[in-house]
Amino acid sequence: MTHLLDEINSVNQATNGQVTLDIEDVNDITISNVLTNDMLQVSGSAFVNSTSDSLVKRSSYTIRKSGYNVPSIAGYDTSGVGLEYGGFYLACRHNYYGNTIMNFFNNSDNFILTPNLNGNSGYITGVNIKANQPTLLLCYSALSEDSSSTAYIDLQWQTDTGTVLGPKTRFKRLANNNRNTVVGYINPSVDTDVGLKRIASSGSYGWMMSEVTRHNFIMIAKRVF
Amino acid sequence: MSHNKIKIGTAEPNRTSQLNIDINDLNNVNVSSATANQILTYNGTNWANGSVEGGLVFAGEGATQNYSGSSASGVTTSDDIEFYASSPVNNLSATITSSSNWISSITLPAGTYKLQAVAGLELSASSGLLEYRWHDGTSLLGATGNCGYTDDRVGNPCIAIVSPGSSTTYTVRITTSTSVTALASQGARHAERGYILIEKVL
Repeated sequence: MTHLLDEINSVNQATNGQVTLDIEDVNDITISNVLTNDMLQVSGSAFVNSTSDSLVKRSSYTIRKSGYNVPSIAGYDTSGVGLEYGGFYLACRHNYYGNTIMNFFNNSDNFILTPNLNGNSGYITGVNIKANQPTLLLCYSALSEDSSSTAYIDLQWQTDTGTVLGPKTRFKRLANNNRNTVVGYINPSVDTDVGLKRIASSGSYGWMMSEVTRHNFIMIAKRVF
Repeated sequence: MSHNKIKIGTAEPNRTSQLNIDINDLNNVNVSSATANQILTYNGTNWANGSVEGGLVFAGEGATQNYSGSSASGVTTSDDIEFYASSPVNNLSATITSSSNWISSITLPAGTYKLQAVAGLELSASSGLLEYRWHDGTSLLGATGNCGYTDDRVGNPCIAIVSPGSSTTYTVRITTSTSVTALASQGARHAERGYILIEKVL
């Protein structure tokens, strides 16, 4: 007697009649490159695996490694950059006078994170939050000791179209009080570029660099549910 | 061979050769005691059900709103600080109590949370100091935050980890008030630079 159900999708029936299916054998489930802590999400009419923190377009941002006042690539710590599945986590440093996100003593740039900040400075480009990803934005940083003694800068998370995402935060060149945290939140309906906008500034300031205070710049985009 | 011997997991065909399989019938799925809003996650071997962790309350828009327009009772010790947000983020099922967009308290359901707040009330002297802590209606909680006379002195948060067993209301309470500008004369610094951030951690 022939059996009418000798195969389900691409899985053949065993001689004892058993059909062993994995989840990806189900018609409306598509799983590829699965990693620990992946989850299933509805995508259109199918379920697909999704990395819980892949909220930034990994391929769309880079850190410039040459240009004005950048002594050497060795000055950068890019170990946290470009994590394929680690979400957005950048822990950067640079040598004295170097700069990762803003040109030294540069008072003309609005968006610190922008594709065209300054043709001759070090910068990060293309930070883009995916649609429908509730995201907490954090930037921990400090001003360089080489800044003017009274220099300060006010920063705020904004979208590239100027939507405010959090409160203003001031960084000032002070011996014991030059660190602060910029906080923001976004849940965009479409993929959206975000960055830190300079709201105000005074004096000549350097940003997140020095041989004394390395590792003083950490940016996190953290998905929240 | 008979098609009636066909099985998928524990599911077998009925008399009309219909086969109804549950997700648990799949070989690499292990769903147990599932509840609403859970998701499937991959544990390295199987797909299993689990609760969605995370979520937050965020109130901090950088808005230019004078604190004198809040409903705060005052700016002295034991007064609670309010925070301005016209559209606070709330995906924790928290109850946000506010008046004219000034948030006076947040009530959280049972769970474990990190509470963080930065206040920026204005001071009238460079020697002034504002200190504040989270408060649950009975006790002060966690580490003390503070702010000073100049804007760069805004950003030192009060932080607490709390695990309420039932619905509990939290406020940010002033613990030190030295040369803090009178409530009626408070400007926009607090709304522009202050915020509340509550994250669910368990």
